[in-house]
Amino acid sequence: MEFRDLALYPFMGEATRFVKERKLGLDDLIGHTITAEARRRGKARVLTALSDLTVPNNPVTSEDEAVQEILSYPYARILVSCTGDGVLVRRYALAEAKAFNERLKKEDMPSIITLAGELEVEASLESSTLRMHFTDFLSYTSGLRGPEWKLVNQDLRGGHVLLEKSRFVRVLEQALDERIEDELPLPVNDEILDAVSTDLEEVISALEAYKEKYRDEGFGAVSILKFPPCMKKLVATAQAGQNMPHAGRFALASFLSFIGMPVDDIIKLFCSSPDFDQSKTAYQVRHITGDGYGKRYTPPECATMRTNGLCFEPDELCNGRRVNHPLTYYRIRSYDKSRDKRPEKATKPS
Amino acid sequence: MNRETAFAMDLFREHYRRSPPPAPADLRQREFGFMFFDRDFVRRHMGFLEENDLRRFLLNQVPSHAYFSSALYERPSAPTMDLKGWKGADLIFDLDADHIRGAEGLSYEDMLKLVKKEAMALLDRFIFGEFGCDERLVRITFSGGRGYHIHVRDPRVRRLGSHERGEIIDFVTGTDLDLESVFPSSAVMKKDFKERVKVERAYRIPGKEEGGWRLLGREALEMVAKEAGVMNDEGLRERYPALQRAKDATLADLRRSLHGMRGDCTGLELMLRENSLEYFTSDRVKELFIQMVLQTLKERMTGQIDEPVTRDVKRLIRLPGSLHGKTGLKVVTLERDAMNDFDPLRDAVPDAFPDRPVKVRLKEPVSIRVRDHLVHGSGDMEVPAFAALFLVLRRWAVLVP
Repeated sequence: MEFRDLALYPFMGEATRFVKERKLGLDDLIGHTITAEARRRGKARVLTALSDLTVPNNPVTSEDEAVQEILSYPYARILVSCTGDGVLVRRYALAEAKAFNERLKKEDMPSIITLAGELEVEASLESSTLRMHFTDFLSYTSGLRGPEWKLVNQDLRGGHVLLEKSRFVRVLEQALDERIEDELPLPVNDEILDAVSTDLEEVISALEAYKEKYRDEGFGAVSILKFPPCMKKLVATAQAGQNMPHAGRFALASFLSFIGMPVDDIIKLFCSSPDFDQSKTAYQVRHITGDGYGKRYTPPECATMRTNGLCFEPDELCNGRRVNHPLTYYRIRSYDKSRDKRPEKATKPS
Repeated sequence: MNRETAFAMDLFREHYRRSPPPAPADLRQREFGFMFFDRDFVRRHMGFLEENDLRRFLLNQVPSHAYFSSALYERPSAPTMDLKGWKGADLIFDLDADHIRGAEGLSYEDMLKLVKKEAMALLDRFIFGEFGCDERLVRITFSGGRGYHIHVRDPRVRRLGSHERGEIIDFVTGTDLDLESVFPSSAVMKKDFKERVKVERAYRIPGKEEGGWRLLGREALEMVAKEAGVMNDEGLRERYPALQRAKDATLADLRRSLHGMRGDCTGLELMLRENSLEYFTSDRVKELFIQMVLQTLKERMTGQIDEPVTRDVKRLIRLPGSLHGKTGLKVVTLERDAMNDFDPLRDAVPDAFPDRPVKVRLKEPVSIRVRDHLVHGSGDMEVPAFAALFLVLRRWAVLVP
């Protein structure tokens, strides 16, 4: 590959070799003036991931510049690792993966296949359509719910799933996301922490500002103890900053809205999500909850939750005959509780 | 120990002496489990380092059932799943009479034939077909009981978790199959007879070269079309619930659309050539036809497997070469090509079992052929030892002192 391409895909083995040929090691990367530009770009990688969920597109005009751009990737990974913060790891991984997706879309088929191979995805062409081995498809689409990602609805032939370019690239995005999440945090030592301390402080304060902005303020009048297991799990997923399928976000937002949680609190709950975007989330939540004016969506019933793979560890009450809707569960629990203590006060679904 | 148990253990021991099961691939990473004739528990969490250790255990303990794990572990004999260190698992398909439509009420022999047919269809259509598994990495066994097991040990498949295996199950069983995935449609504008414009969906028939459920959809479509041509109205209505309220004229329309001549070919030929379903005389007939095809897909094209077995990533499964404690039949490894002629009651009776005469008392009249011997009649009779063991273990007979 050309040096310009290596700069676009710095996680490739070939990019690492390209840099190694220039005899640059870890010590040079964290301390030498020759790599100052790489460190500046690396820090920008992390900060842009936090703020915009992508990484900068720096033009690369020379081999030297390519070296700096490639090295900005390991430097960014070192910075993320030094924070040891799960939310940052997930958001950074997703930002790299999304940027990767955008770049891949512009590539021709042979390049896409090469990059797939780099991610250990078995890919090839079948009469000018991209295909991958079904086991790779299954591994990387398990987080993508919805009928269009089910194996049963794929064009599967002789062990290979044929995919349109955009869908093929979407699976590779997932593969890179998972790979980076698995690799980070890298082990770091005091020497590294010392060397990067200035940049690290900047990253940490940006991370804290990011978290502060959207801090979860709890559930207020709404009692999470009365939630059905599916909703508890979705809340935990949201709070842990793990990525959630779209159907899960919809179910959770509509459920919370229905039991009377204020819209702003619902939005804040999603803030730990690695792909959190304040304005987008606000728009979507307002759409789902109707925001007091428009159509208000009812949360999905149990059957739909199951179909969407969102029914987690149903308990006795779920399996009893009365419950076929998460709201019914909440209502029953609220009723039980109120009998024990004081008169019913929780907001009831109509 | 009663007489029957002693008899069974004698014959089982003889089998394990004469033809010990070969060690499964990756022996040292497999967990083993056993059940016994004379003890009431399952012994699990066992590991063997050498083929000889396994052989010695079988000879000394003479288990009634022998299992090994589909999973590979760091420490297969560790007492809990957490400590074992899961490294991957073969993908297993279990075809058992309990999960096959129409197996109830059949004789043992006919039931085995039906399950075998299902197993062959599953292999051809899915495992070697759509999943493209390498024959060298697929082991097919007769389970010794009421069905067949298929083990896939491709390293790419071994790393899949339960959720991913669930997707494989859904593919095989056609669960959550979208109509769109079989017959892709697009919105088209049509003018009705009063020249009003309506938006409708135009369905495409998948091409011969397409894969997945599309190809099966095309095959099912041809099957249904053929049936519509040869079956009478009553037969069709009985076969397809969607047609129950269809008038005779509608059925005639259906036949005309499919088998009437359109220029130089029939309607069906035209549809298949143009890969389009839009050659029916009316939308009503087209919709009915789609319903018939979907029903056929679900009934005839889906694999009938015991789903939890496939989903499980740490299942114990019968050891090939061992004996089934409820039949005395051997878990036989088969090549796909050998399945056609395979007859469990002839080919899975261990060679080590002797044919000396043994007196048995049948509980009910029996007529069944075991190896080359026809057991036919009731009450007391003398049969070869290999047949006697089958009857005793099936609990159809007891030994006569």
